Amino acid sequence: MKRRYEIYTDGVQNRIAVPTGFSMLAFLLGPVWILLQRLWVEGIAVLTAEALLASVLYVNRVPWPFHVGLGLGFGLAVGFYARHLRERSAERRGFEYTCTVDARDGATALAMLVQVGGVPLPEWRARHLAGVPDFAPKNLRAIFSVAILTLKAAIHYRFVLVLLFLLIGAVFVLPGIIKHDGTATGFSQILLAYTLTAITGLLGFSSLWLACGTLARDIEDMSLFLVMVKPIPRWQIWLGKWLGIMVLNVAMVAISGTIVFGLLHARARQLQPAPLAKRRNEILVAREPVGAEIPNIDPEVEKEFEQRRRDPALSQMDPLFVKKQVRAQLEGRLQAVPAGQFRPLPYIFNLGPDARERFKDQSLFVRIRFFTPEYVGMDASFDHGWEIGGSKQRPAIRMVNNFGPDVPSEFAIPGDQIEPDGRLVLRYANLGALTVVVPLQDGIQVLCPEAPFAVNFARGLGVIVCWLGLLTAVGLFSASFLSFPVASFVSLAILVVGLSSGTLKQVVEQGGIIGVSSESGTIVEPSLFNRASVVVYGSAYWVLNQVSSFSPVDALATGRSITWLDLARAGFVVVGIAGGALGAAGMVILTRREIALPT
Amino acid sequence: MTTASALPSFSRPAPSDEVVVRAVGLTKVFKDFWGRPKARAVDNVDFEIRRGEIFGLLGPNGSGKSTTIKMMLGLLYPTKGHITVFNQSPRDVRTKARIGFLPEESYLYRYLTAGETLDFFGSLFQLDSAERRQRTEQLIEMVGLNQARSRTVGEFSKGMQRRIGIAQALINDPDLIILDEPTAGLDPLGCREVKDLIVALARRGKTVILSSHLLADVEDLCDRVVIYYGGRIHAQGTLHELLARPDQVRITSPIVSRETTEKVVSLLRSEVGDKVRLDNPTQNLESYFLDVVEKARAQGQTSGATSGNQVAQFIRGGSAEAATSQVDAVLDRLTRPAASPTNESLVSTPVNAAPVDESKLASLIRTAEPAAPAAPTTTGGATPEAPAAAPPAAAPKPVDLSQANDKLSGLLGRK
Repeated sequence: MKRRYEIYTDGVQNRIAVPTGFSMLAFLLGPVWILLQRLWVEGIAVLTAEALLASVLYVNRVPWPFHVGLGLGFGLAVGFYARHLRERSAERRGFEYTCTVDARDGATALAMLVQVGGVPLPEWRARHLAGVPDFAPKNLRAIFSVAILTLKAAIHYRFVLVLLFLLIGAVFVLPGIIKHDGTATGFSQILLAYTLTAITGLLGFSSLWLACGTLARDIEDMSLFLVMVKPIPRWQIWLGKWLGIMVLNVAMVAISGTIVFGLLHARARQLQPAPLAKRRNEILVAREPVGAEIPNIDPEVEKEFEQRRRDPALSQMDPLFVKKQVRAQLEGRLQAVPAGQFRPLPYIFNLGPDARERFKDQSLFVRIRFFTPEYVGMDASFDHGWEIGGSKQRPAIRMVNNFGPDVPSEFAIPGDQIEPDGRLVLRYANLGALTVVVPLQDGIQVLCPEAPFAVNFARGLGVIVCWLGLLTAVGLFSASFLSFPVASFVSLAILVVGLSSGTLKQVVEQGGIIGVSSESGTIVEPSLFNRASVVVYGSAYWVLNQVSSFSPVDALATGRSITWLDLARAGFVVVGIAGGALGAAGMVILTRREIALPT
Repeated sequence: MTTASALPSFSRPAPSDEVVVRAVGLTKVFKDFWGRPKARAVDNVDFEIRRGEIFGLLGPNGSGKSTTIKMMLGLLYPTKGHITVFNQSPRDVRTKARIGFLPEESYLYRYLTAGETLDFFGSLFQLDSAERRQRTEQLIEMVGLNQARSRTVGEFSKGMQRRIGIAQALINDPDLIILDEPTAGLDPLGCREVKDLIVALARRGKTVILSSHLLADVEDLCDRVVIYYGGRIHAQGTLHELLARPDQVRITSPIVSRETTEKVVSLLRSEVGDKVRLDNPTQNLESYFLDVVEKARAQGQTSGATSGNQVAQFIRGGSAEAATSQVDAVLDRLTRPAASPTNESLVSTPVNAAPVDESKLASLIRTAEPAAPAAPTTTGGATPEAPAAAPPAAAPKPVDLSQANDKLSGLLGRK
């Protein structure tokens, strides 16, 4: 079997043949192999890094498989990087590249060169370069070559190294310095929330900065000038840069995510069975929240509204305002449960036709978050009574538990209580001394196991990657028409404005901008301008709302499921719609822009 | 006047009537942020450039040459009038696929090596990896950057950056080559190589547009020129049309006796009066410099060999004829279609092209083995190899690439 050898020659015609590609010996010996190549600095650096990381794992009482994994990781890196290390070693000894020969072994490669008189054949002279592979479709090669160029720039300017260092530092250091409630569940929640937030934040800013820099700087230093005179449409340059940054982002998310996942499981060895089970049930799961059915109150609203209109005091008021007040009042009645009473309507959860079979012999969790009409202090708690299920075949189960207001609380219920048609019926009794308010939308949910945590975690990381895709598009969009510093500033500004969607929402609720009644909070007379503003602001608000509704960190930290559908929606809305709109605008601007204007 | 070391007098086919670039009423007005006119860089310019021409753009700084080139490349858009390249818009990617451009400054990516740079630009032309490698190798060899192929462009001197810039401009075997100050930063030998290359390209039917401040370069190379000033063309035509002085005549002869000279002068004065001038012709400094360097090289003197010198050896060879054939050979290889087994065999000399002789190889391996232990090589260690490998008697004669190039030119036909 033939292998590719690079031949190096020194000043006195000594030659060495260096095999390219993965080196098994380098993989097995790691830093020792590097030292054998007389690369003292590189060898000692790798040895030190390996020892440092091993100590961190040891201090964290990480089990031995992770040590093995670390060793394997280093070995693989050295094995794949062997060619460059050998090249460096040869060059330090005064050798220079001569040619590349395909041969059975090194001796044959050298002999082949000798056989042609020491002058390499023209086809041997070219050095193998990591360029666009031939299997890439011809019309996409330009995009891929720009993507590879972007990656090379990030690696050359040590951006990747610094980013990796920061990410690994954040992932290892944060769990050690942040406070938690002392429980395994609390620690896991904090670990997930803080490290994933740190990863998202670091990669988010780096994506913005890199996106602005890679395009704006290329235009400023005229490098793009030479690319744009080649037969590559400018939109492909834009897309190539986006792709390059995204490849980097995916790699960074995968590396840091793997470390977080490893750390999370490494703690399991130190836990007692009870906290371990609690953690497994509440955090390291993928539970899909199903909200209670909201009863249709429209007929009652209409009925009540008609009655109120007959009241002479109310007949002069804005009918829309009156109807809004009536609806709020009726909703309030459904949300409030007076002390010592059952809620008049039961909570009904539709878990799907096969739910009874799926969750047989499993525990489901009910999550409740309620409020009290008056402040009761942080330590106050209330008794709650529950009647779960109940049919001719299986009697209802009654439970009593005690929770505090304002924060979500959970309790387990048996999955066997689900009705044959997939409905779960819960009746709630307020056993406390005060009225409690359980919001209709998300006050009470049933959490059903949906997938293993690893899958959920991977989907969560996928959503983070979608976010990074949008931020990269924001950076590239700004850099399509602005200089690097201005583009960075504008990108951050877009980010801030995008996150504060309150004004947009207000305009939509008011029904316009001009002529808003101070009494009703809505516009008095609809006009073309107001209609147009509702359409524009409404669309922007819808997009922003959709985009910001994907919060993988919160979902992972609370054991909530991020379904494949959520991931697909995130991809479609965040990358496809929001990123796509910015991308299209950026590409059009870049295509129409005059490059090389005198400054 | 052509001296021994000046440009060889190539027999070039006459430029065809096919118009490659046409500018009609071309105007470019730069505007400020508020859209108010700031400067009229190019003002109502008309010209045509035909296939196979070497066309010169002359003019002082700020006269509109670069703006015209940028409009030709589709980087700037005309305010009025229009410009077409190959009868298409310069912004069309199909047009760009036929253009090679060398900008005035090096706008290359500083973190790429010479090889990576050419590979990157090659991939923008959708070339396969084998063809990219082959073209990269030939161009690196042609511009004399063999020894610097692994260094990043950021480490290059200005002259080296110019060379790699020229190489990238030729990676696609363009039909139209636009060169902005191609000899800037090059030593005289490098300048000469570039000029040889330009003429060789024109001989092959390529159209070359040359923008330069060095009037001697333009005079040496260009068929036609336009002279810009203040955004307008003030003169346009062939060099002969522009430079010929029909009211004067020059007589050149070998040295003659003083009496004969005086007789001739007095005869001339009897007809035109004191307007007769008599002097010894001089050669230009470039020719003289190249002559001195050539002689020094023949005597084996070195003054620190540079890549530029190697280029000169490779491209220029020993004589003008050899120079022509070698440049052509390189261009032939560049213009060859995508690598195929048949074409591949044409690249090498008969010696090199022969398949590796397994029995000879076995004996060579045996010779090399004592100093080149197989184990470290196969298991991943760099192989320490015998000094100078096999004895010279056992090794075949080193390959003379010029022979291969000549054969190649013969096979593919000279243009």
